[in-house]
Amino acid sequence: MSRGLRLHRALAAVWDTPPGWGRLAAVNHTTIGLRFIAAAAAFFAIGGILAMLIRIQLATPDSAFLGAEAYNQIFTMHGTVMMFLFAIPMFEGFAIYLLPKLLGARDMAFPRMTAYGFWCYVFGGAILIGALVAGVAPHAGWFMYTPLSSGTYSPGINGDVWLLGVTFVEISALSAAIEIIVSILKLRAPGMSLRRMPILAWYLLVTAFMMLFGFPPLILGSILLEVERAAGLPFFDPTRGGDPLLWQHLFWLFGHPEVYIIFLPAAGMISTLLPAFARAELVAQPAIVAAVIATGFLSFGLWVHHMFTVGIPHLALAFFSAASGLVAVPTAVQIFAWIATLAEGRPRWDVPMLWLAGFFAIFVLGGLTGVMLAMVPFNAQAHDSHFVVAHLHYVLVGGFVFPVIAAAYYWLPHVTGRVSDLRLSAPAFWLTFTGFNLTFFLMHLTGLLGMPRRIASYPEGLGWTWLNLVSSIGGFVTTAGLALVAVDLVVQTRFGRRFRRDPWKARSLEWATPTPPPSYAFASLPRIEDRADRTRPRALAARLAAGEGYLGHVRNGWCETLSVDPAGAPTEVVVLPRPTFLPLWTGLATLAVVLALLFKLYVLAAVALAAVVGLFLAWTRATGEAADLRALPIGHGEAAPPHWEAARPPSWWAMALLIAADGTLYASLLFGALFLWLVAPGWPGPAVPDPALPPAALALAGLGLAALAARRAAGALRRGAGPAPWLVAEALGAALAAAALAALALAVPDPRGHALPASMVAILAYAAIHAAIGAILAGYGLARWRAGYVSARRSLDLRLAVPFQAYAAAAGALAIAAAAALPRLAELAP
Amino acid sequence: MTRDGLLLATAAFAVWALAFVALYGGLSVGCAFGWPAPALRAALLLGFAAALAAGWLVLRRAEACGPGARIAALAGLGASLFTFWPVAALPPCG
Repeated sequence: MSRGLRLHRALAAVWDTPPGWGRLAAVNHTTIGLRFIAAAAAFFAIGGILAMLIRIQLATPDSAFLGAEAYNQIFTMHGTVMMFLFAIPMFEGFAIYLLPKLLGARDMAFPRMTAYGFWCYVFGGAILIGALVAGVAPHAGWFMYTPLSSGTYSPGINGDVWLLGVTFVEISALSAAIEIIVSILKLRAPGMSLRRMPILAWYLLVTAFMMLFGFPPLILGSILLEVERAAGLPFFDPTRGGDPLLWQHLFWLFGHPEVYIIFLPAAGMISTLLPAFARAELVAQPAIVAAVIATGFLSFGLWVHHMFTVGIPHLALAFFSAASGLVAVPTAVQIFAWIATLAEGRPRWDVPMLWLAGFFAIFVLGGLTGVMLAMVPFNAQAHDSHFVVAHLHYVLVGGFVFPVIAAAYYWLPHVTGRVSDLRLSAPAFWLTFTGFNLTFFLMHLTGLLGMPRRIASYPEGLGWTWLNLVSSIGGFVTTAGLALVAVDLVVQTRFGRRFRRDPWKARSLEWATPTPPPSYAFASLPRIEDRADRTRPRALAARLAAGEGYLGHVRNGWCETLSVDPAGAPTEVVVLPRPTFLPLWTGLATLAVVLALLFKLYVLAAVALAAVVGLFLAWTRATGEAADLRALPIGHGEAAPPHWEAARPPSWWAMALLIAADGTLYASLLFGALFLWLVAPGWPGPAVPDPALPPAALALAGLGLAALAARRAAGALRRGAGPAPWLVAEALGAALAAAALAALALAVPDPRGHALPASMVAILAYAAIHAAIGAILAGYGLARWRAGYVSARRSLDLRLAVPFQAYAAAAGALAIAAAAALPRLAELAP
Repeated sequence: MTRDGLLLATAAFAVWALAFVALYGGLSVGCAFGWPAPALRAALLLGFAAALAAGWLVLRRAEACGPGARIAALAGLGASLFTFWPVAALPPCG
């Protein structure tokens, strides 16, 4: 038996997902990535069927095909499914499947979180689709504007389904964001400095950061609206000091970056595919990286262009209009760089290129109408019309669906190990391309003729009839094209011709894995000496399969990969978890929390939440070692410690990123309170007394003690002393602070009466929850110490609590200050 | 792009983002409370100038960090100029 085969068998024994029911225990990135892609494709099909129902309804005037209520549910669910259940998860699936292979790693940084994110996504999606089947789907539009979505005007559970279901899915998106960032920053092949990273990794890094800061405002908005609907605390009700515009701000603070969160990964795929087909290196790569970073930032300064007509000072409109126009520049930089790459090389045409050509045509048109809509006077005319519907479909279908289909054709041979004769591919493309333009180009005209979006029917004689009919015919042509794509991909998977390696003669690292890829991706990890898009996969693959790279062995039955510093020097051996059912059980417990909240069974929700916490703690039982291992050989005469003995392993970065996302949510909450104070009607509201001094002082003392004790515990451990007394102090301080903050929140009078006390309760409750989490973290540290998993070298479990306790202390102090300041500010309200 | 280059490229647009928050927030508070237009405009112009100065400082430091950082820093400065110049041309609360 050759060394390569022996290595393969040994690696497969520890990395492979078990068969049968064991498949539900999968944590491997290849498996989970493909499951994400398959589930997203299924949701895309559901969203497509809903689109067809919409087009049937609008094909003729005065249509009686659907009633208004059913139509409202269908267009709301079409948008919701396409944005939250198709686009984001599809990109996550590609990222999870590809990233480790592009970076020269064996898996993502947190495989169990990948699996948990998948279950949250599928269960959240199932809630939404189940509600649709039951006839109680959300019906207030995919952006759920208040007051239409508030309890007064949407009294059933329809709105709750959206708020809870989408938030559930967003847990998956946030965990994916953290995982993508940490994987890119830490789990690269030795020698792969940031400068040498593949271009797709840059795109995914920026996208993941955008998700990290973009999703928390929507999560907060969803929580506040659900609290308003379920408990009556008014944040968006203008009769009680709330303001519907707060929802719009929170939603679009997420919603506009979301467009770029969808587009940028697709653009990254284009930047990866084009050089392979142009047979030239990507032109102006540094400018593209700068453009991607610019897009990431600028996309957060555009949200108000969705709100140009709500009544905002002209100068502020000018800021947002300028930023909205400006974001076209970095996008144009990328498009010109792609054209220059084609001009520089010797392009060869193949099916992915056909879809990329379609992307160029459609996306550029969508971009141009985007610049039109960025201009305030035009926006005021076209706002809420079918022109906007046409624009957003040109941008999202052109900027995501076409590149993703190109990417599917490009990477399907990697997944299946087969290439197609592609006879169906060209007709599928032309049907889709023609049908799409027939549907949506004409929709610009329908909009300019004044047809508002979201109306269930329209009378004859307004000049909209033939345009709608042709749009509907185009919609069905598009569907036929996309169905043919699906058939083509299935045919390729089933009957395609087998190939040896790298059928496109690409130069990126994922083609150096066997195809289809094994669970461990690389039998040994490569050393990267140049840019990662200049590798020679065919030659490299044989050496890696023979175990000539790093970690070309199996040790202790561990799933190992390497972590590096920014310059690409190995820093630690990351030991990854093996298949486990825990993510599934945790996902099911989270589902129980969401369903209990949906049906207002709050005791059950609390029990299920306790189960979620317990299950997460159970994850840690399989991590770490009860003895110091120090440096482990990693090959090439080098050595590195296991990750639990390293200074800043992936979990340290994950904690830092989690705090960043958490801080964004808190900042959004504080912004919300100040926004209501400044803008909402009905302020100053009722007189609210200052927070009582004894609980406030106890809370501050407890928070300070917890933060200090967390530092002292880690310090004592480093010095070789026992940390137990400090851990006990940390737990007691955090628990005391949680109780005191909860008491302060409960003491706020009549939070249902006005947004001022409601905001104070929300802020104090946030701080109390964080103090409680701090207490759990301290208890966890104590348990790990008692179990022998913690030593001077293995101090990670205690060090992770240090930044969290510091954050909880700062958040708590700020909450008490805000609770004291808000009533005083309210007296000064304009 | 190196680590320093990445940080400076990010800093260039962080300046833009901070200026955006400060100018939009200042404008909203000033208009809501009916601050005198000349004083509000002066404050906004000061903020605009500070954003340009900070962007220029980032650009100078980015010169030594490779083309990616330099391009991003230049783009960040340009973004501040393009987004905020209306403070010099439009009435604050019209």
